Amino acid sequence: MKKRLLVVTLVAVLTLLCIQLAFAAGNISVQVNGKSLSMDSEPFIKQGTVLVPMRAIFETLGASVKWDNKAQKVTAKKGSTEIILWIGKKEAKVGSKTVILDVAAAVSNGRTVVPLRFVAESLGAKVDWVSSKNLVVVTTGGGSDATAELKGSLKMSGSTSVQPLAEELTQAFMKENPKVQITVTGGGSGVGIKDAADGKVNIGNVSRALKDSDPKDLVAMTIAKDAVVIAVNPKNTVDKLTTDQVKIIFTGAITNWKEIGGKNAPIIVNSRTAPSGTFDFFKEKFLGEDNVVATAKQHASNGLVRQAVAANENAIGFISMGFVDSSVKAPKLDGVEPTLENAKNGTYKVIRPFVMVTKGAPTGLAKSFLDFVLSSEGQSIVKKEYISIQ
Amino acid sequence: MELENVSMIIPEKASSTTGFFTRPRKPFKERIIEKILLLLTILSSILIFFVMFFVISKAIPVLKASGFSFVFSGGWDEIFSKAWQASADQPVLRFGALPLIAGTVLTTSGALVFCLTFGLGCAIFIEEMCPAWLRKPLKSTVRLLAAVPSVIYGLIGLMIVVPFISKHLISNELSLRMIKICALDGTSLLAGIIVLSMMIGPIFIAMAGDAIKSTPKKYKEASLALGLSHWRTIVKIILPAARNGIVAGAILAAGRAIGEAIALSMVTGSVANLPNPAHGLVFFLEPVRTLASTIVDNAEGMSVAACESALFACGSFLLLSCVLLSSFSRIFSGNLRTGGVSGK
Repeated sequence: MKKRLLVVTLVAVLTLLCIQLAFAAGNISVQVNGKSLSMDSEPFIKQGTVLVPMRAIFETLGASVKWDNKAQKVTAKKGSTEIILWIGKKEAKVGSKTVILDVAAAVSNGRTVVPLRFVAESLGAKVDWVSSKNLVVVTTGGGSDATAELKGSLKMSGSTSVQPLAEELTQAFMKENPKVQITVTGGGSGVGIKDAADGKVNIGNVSRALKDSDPKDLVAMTIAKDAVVIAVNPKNTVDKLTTDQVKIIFTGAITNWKEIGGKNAPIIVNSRTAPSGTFDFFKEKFLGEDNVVATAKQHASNGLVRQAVAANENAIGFISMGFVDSSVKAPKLDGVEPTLENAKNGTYKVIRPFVMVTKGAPTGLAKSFLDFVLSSEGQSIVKKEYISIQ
Repeated sequence: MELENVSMIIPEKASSTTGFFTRPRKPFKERIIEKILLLLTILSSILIFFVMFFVISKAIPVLKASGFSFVFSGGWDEIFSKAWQASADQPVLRFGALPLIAGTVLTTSGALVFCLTFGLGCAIFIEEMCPAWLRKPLKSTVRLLAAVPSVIYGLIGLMIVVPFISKHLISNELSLRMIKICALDGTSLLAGIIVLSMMIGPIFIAMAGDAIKSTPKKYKEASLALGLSHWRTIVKIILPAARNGIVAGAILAAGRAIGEAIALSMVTGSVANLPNPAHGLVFFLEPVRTLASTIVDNAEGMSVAACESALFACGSFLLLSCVLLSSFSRIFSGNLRTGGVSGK
C-alpha cells in the first residue's frame, strides 16, 4: 500500500516537473495586433530566431498555405505576395527575390515551424521583441495590402428599401474577401433596429434617421441617401402631382382621379405598415400630423407596394426610388421629374438617409464592412442607383 | 432460449407495462431506449405547453388592457400605427381585433361551405360513382393537391383570381361608389374564400372519401337489396353512416384554413376592414384581413412591446381556436373508429 502511494507521488511529481521544464523552455508568446496567437505547439528559439508553427502564423496574417510534401516546400500566398520556404534550406523566396535566412524552416514535434520575423515582415507586418516578457509583438500595418485577410460571417436584416443596396455592397465586399460570408434579410426598418439591439444581427438596415424611441445603445452610420417617389400605374393619365395633392390623396380628402385631372375612377391608396422606415419618412414629409386614410392597403414591403400599383390601374403608392421600374410610373412632383440626377443635384427634395446600425461602435468584421461601404469604392456602388454621402 | 426467441418476435408485448408477459429482466439496451423514448415524449408534451404559456404570457398586456373590446371593437390599423409611434412610457394597449376575427371566421366558413358542397360531391363521386380505372389517378391527384405549399395557392390567387375579380366583378361605378368605405381592387373576401377552398378542398375530399369508403359494405348491400336506388342509398345510408368522418375532415380542413397566413395575406387586401353585410353582394368583394395574415403583415412592429403583445394576442386566439378544433375532431374521429354509425 505504502509502496503504491510512493510510486503515485513520484509519478505526479515527475509529471509536474516535466510540465514545468517544458513551460520554462518554451515560454515565448506571440501577440498579433494585441491578441495572443494560439498555436498547436510551442514556439521556440533557435540560434536567436523565433520559430513558430506555420499554420498559426500564416493564417492569422491572412495568408493561405500550401504544403508540398515531395519537395518539402511551404508556399504561402497573400494577395500578390508569395513566400516559399524549404525545410532545412536556408534559402527562401519572397516573390521572385531570393532571401538567405539565418535559420531554416524545420519540422519540430511533427509540426512545420518557420522563422517568425522573416515570415511576418515579408507579409508587411512589423515585428518587435520584448525581451523582459519573452514576447514577440507582431503588428500588421494600416495599408490594405498589409491587413490580414478577412474571414467570418456577418448577418444583416432590416429595411426592404436598403436591402437591394445592401446586397450589392455585400456582394462586392465578398468578392474582395472570398472568406467572408454576409447574409442580408429584409423585414423592415423596425426589424433591423430590433435585431441589431437584440444582437441577432451584426448590422441592422434602417431607412430613416434614428428616433428617440429607438434603443439607446445603437450606433448609426449613414451610408447613402435615397429618394422616395410616388408611384402610379403606367396606364394612369396623371403625370404630375403637387405635394398638397399627394397629401389630400393619401389622407382620403379626395378619392377620384378626376379631381386632379385624371379619368373618372377611384383612387386606390397603397401604404406601408406603420413600422416601415419608408412610411415613417413619407408621413413626415407629406402628411405631417394627419393619418393615412383608413381604406389604404397596408403592405409590408416596397416590392409589394410596387406589385399592387402595377396590378391596378387606379392605384397609387410610394416606394424607394431604387424600386422604380417599367411596371410603375413616377409622376412629376411639384414640377420636378423624380430621377436620380434630380435627386443628386438637389432639385428633387424627397430624400431620406439610409442608415446601418450596430449595437455599440462597430468592431471586427462589421467595422471592416462599414469602412468598405463608406470608402470611395463602396460609395461608387451607392452612386449607381442612390445618392452617395460624399 | 425459447423465452428469448419469443421476446424477440414480439418485443412490444415483452416491454409493455401490463406485465402480461413476465420476464426476469429486460435487456439493458431495451430499458435505456424505453427511458429515452419516455423522456422525449414528456419533453415534447412540455414543449406544447411551453408554447401556449409563452404565447399567452406575451399576449396578456394587450388582452388585459383591451378586455372584451379586443373582440368587439375595430380600428386595428389605426391603433397599431398609434401603438408603434407611442412613447415607451405611455404604450397604447387597447386594441380592437373585430375586423381580424371577422375576417378569419368569414374566410374559413366561406371556404368550408365550398368544401361541404363541392368537396363532398367530389368525395362521393370518387368513392361511389367513379369508374374503377379513373379512381386511382383521381385519388392520387387529390392527395397531391393536398400537399401543395400554401404560398403556391397564394400566387395563383394573386395572379389569376384577384385580376379576374377586379376585371369582371367590380365595375368602375361600383368602385367609385364604395371608395369612401373601402377600396375595391379585387383583393377581397371572395378571393380569400376561393384560394382557401382550393387549399383545404383536397384535404377535405381525401378525409371525406376515406369516411365514405369505411362505411360497412353490408349497409350498402342491404339498402340496395331492399330496392333503394344507388343515389338514395348514398343520401340516406352512406352519408349518415360516414357523417362523423366527414365532420372530422371538415374540422381538420378548418384548422388549416384558420392558420393560413401567407396565401391570404396575398389575396385578401391587407387592410383590417370589417365587411358590411348591408352592402349586399358587394360584401364579398370587400377587403378583409385574417388574424394569421395580420401577424405576418405587421410582424415588423415586433420591436415595440405593445405591438408585439397585440400580435401575440392574435396568436393566442388562433391557438385557442386550434385547440378547440382539434378537440372537436378528436371527439368525432373517436366516434368514427368505434363504429361510425350515427343515431339514425
